[in-house]
Amino acid sequence: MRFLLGYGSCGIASGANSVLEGLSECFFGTEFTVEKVGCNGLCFAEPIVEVICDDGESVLYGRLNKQSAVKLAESAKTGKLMQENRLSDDELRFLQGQKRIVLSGCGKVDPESLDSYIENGGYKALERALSMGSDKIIEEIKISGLRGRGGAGFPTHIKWQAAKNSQSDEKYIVCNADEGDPGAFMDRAVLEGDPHRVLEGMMISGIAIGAHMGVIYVRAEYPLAVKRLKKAIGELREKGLLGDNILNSGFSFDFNIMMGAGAFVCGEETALLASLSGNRGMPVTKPPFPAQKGFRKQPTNINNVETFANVSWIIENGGEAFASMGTEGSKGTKVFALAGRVKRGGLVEVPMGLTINDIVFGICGGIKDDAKVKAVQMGGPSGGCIPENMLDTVIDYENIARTGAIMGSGGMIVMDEKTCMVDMAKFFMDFTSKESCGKCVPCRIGTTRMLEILERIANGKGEESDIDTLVELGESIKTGALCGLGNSAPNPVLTTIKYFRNEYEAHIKEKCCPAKKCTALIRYSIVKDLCKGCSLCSRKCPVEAISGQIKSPYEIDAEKCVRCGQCIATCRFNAIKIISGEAKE
Amino acid sequence: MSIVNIFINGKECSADTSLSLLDNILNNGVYLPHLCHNKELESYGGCGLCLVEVEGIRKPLRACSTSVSEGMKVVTSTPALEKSRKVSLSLIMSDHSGDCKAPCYMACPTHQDIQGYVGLIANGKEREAVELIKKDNPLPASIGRVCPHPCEEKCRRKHLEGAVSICALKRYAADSYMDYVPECDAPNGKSVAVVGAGPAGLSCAYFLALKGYKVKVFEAQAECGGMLRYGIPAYRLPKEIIDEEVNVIKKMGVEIACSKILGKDFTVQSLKSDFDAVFIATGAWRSAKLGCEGDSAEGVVGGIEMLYRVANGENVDLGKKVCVVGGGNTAIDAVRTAVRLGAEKVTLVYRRTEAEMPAEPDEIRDAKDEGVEFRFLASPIEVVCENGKAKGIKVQNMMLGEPDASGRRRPVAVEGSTEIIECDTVVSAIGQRVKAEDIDSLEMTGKSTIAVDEVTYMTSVEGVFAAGDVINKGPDIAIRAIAGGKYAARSIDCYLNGVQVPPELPVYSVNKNFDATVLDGTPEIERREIKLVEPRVRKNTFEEAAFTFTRDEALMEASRCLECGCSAVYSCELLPLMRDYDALSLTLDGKTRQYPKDKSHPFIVRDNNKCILCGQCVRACREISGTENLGLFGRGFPTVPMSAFGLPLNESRCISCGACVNVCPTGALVSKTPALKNPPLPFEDEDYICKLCDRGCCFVKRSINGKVVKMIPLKLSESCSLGVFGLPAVDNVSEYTTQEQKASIEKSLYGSLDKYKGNVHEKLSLEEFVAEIKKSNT
Repeated sequence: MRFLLGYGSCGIASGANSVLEGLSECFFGTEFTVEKVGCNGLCFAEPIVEVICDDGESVLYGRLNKQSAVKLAESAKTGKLMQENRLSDDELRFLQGQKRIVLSGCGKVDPESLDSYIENGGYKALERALSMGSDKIIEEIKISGLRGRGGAGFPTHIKWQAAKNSQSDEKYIVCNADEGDPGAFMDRAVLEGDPHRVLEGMMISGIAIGAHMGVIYVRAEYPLAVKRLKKAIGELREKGLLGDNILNSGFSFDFNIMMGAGAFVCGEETALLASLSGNRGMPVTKPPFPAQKGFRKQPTNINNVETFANVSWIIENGGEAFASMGTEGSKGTKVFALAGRVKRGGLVEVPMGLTINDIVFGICGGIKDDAKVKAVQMGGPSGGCIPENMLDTVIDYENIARTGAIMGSGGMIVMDEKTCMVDMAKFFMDFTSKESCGKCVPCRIGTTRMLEILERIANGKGEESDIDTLVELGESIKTGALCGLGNSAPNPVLTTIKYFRNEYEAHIKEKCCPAKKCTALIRYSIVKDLCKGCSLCSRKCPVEAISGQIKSPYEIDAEKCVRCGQCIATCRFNAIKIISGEAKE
Repeated sequence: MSIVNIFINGKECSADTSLSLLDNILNNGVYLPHLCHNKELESYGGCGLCLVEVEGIRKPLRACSTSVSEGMKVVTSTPALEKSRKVSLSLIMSDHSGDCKAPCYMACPTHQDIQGYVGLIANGKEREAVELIKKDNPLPASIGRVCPHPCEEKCRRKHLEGAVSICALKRYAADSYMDYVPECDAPNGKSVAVVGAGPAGLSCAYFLALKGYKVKVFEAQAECGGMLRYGIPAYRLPKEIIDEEVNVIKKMGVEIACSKILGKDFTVQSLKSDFDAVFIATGAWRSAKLGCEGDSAEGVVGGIEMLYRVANGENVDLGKKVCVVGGGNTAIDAVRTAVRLGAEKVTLVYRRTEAEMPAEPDEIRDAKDEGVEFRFLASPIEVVCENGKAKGIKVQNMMLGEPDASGRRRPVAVEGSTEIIECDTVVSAIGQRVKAEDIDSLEMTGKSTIAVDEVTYMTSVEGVFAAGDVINKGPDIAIRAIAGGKYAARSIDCYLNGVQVPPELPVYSVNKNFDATVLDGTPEIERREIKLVEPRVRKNTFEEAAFTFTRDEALMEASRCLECGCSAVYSCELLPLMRDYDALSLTLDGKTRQYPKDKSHPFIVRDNNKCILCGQCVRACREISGTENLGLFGRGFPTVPMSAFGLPLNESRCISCGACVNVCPTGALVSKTPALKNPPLPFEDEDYICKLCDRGCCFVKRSINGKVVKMIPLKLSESCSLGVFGLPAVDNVSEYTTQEQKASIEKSLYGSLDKYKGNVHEKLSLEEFVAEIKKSNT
């Protein structure tokens, strides 16, 4: 019997160490050991242990703590695995319908062991690639239809071909591991859970373009990923899989890791290269493209973690196999990070061509509390909002772009009726305006002005012309901004205006926040008939805004109230309601 | 380098592949807006203005960072591109906190270059100051005595010890060169009749004469000056001053005929047939009546009428007790005149309180010093008469209520509380009215003033113009009449040259979010007030009551100027783009960055409030000077260029190569000279080859009034600290330059010599250097 403990940052944060302690203590002196693996994507149920029985059957336990881990270990010792904490069939539907390529090793292999990766078929693709040679590799990638998974979806083979065509003795492979979108964590999961997969992809790319050095630009906020990458690279060197003349093939390659200092814009490839060179992380205009003049002014191929993680599978299984999945223009699988009001959040890898509904309702089980879904924000702060009636959109690059959102890195934030779209747009605009590098006018000042207008609207001080100004500014920033950050920064605002204009109008004209989120536009009120006069809310209120006599209805002083919501959370009689907009009183 | 053919807006042009598309477009004579590009620096792409559409490429490209290829088809202007440029410029303007022109300039109705003449005075250049003043104001000595100076209201020094005494400085400069006669254009053969020799009429005549017009002024009174002579008492403005200033106008060729009355000696129609254009500025000569019982009784006079009679040398007897009703400057003139006429008890009755009085605080103070009593919150309800002659005034006591439309608190009657103030004469100084009966062939307003177009100053009759107190809203201060005359002259000039509407006045950027804390650390210098004759002496005489500044006083006071107006106003690249694209019309205002100026360097001033983050200074510092002293600090909106570790420029690694100053497209980095003040004035440029070493770098030498203020290298990479700052230093060090400044100048002059080793003689002290250059020039 094998015990695989989800031991990524996410697992550790949810208590994997106590589980480890519980299991290890009980297993002391027995034949059982605990294997630490990466995150298998079932974030909603962390900490997770997968028990693989001797007959190969897999049983998943979730939401464990030390006590339940001890129980699990004890039951294992008896040979009869316990029933508690097993993930239900319903919950296990999360894994059905997924097709795992990028995540195939996550939760399966020991990320700190090269042997484990090799046992699971690792580095076979590298061997194969060495015998294929450059042209065949690029041809295979071309057949596969693989497109950049970092966001823009640029065909990978074109980048590789361009870098190959550039004449230079010195070329570089750069892995963009500067995952910065709020709510996206697939790159981290892969780096922490299956680092060799990325390294193998980079090495194959190195063979393809003729590069001998791979640099991984990984954000400093991912220390575990850095640690595991370092260990993986160290093991490769020890085993002679790095350095000069690898496996006697004549191919030489080595890796370097650079830690980014946490600027979102450094996910943009030219800014990343500037940062790599020790300069201020600011994008530059293209051309020249990195494939012509990149790291150290030499031809450089930059791909995202997820893109590289697909490469070994394609080389091993053939481009055709990859291209057999997905839609006309978007092949293979894509990893999505599900967050927000969804029942089962986590990492989902599915073939392109499913609908958003398939993921949200099929795999992730729908909305928490069975509330009504309102929209899905795709692509993080650069993406857009897709409303409920368009959730049957088939997922591929073109279709998503047609809605005004982007595929992006694959973040999906699911929202229910309690989400205010103005508030959401404001959140993302706040993010991008702060992350703007400050170089170009449309982005630096434009996003700030858009944010100011959104703040004005959310504070009930919006003017009717504000919506048009936002659209005008947004369109102008999209054309005028220098890099992808600015080009896409207005998307959340533009899509929410496109699909939820009435919500903006309600904020502006009626000074009403329909979702009752914008604190300047709401007030709390006690329904006299329902209030029993228990005084609980009044005691909870941090600003003494609630007063009254015991056993008779209490009242909230709107002037004092800071709209923290503690009274609503406290009231046992549902007697407190939120009012927004005079008309709705 | 190779040459290819490209198509710019459909026209085939040849292009150099070693240059960017932008440079190629510019080289082919097509203008493409840009603010962050310099062909000597790496391309940047910050401003986003040079977007062009290239055939076959979906998104617009930045021409500055696009290379050219054979057959490339480029379009530089489409509605979408222009729209995008306008939005970008509006965004730039929304975070460009600068004043093209100082607030005093903006506040002055006739827009005098105050910063310019105050700066010239500070540098001891009174003559140049007068020449500058007289470009906008024909009567500076008179105005310098009587103006309520709206300019000083807006003076930023008010946030510190007090506004600069601008008005007194103008008086000082004007008094120093009363005989200056501006040069006029050659006669153009056209003639204009001006009716009225008051400030508006004289102003119009003056500006027309400058333009070469033959001007004849008709004045109803026996002497010139209008209200300046007959409405303002001599103790404030001696008649000789007016005479001297009018004489200058006469010397410019303006003919003045006095005692000629409109409607009697001539009519608008007769003038129209005798002259090419007619300008009317007859003023507002009638006092408003009190509007209460007894206001026509004997012993009740109008303020204007009373001042007129005194000015006209008539014998005026007001009796022992005088009561003046009103709170404006005319009321103050009336009470102070009454004091000088020997009245024993003079009372000013005003229905609000001192705080609401429209009169100048200084004037109120002077009147009090001269013994005038003020009776506030009292409104006349009846002139109490005996035998048809006034013997007192019955007033209703008032209190202040809610603010009215003017923002002042409205006086409300205190029921049943009245009082009688005894007096021999009641003077009504509650406003002036136009005597309009003689000019009613022209369309009038409801206020019986002549209706004129706000922009052209033309009346309802073509070719007939009017300005001053007689038009539209009626009476106002003298400087506004002068402005009216000036702008009407401009309009008449356009009209007589076949242009119906004069071009609009230029638009300037105004720092709306000025934050006074940026002035922290400014050395304190008390405001110098003009000195007055002691009250007990002056109250008995109509001799002038105030003294003109002495030279020391004036130079010290002028040195207080904070130089708010942008030094780059005549060379700014943003300003013309802002105007072309009407970039202020999209209101995208929001928060702005506010930084104190860095004036630490002897030749460079950095004002980051005006920085548009084009990045040129940072690139120049890295690519040209190689010091990498300047860098961008922070990210997103607050990003700002600064020296390493935020050090003041003079304490940083700056080698004073001057490259940053010469690439800045706005006034964020400007050069200064060691002169006390560096007023932005129109400059002259000439080509110059530096002789300080044998490299022979080429410059454009920029001078103001014959002094070198800036050296602009033709090639950034071929200049050094000595070449850029040497001549400005030589020309501008003076007795005012302190030892500390001299040391700092020496350090900067030789800052980049190690880098650019020319055959420069050994490092000299500043004095030796100045002597050397002066010797070699002679």
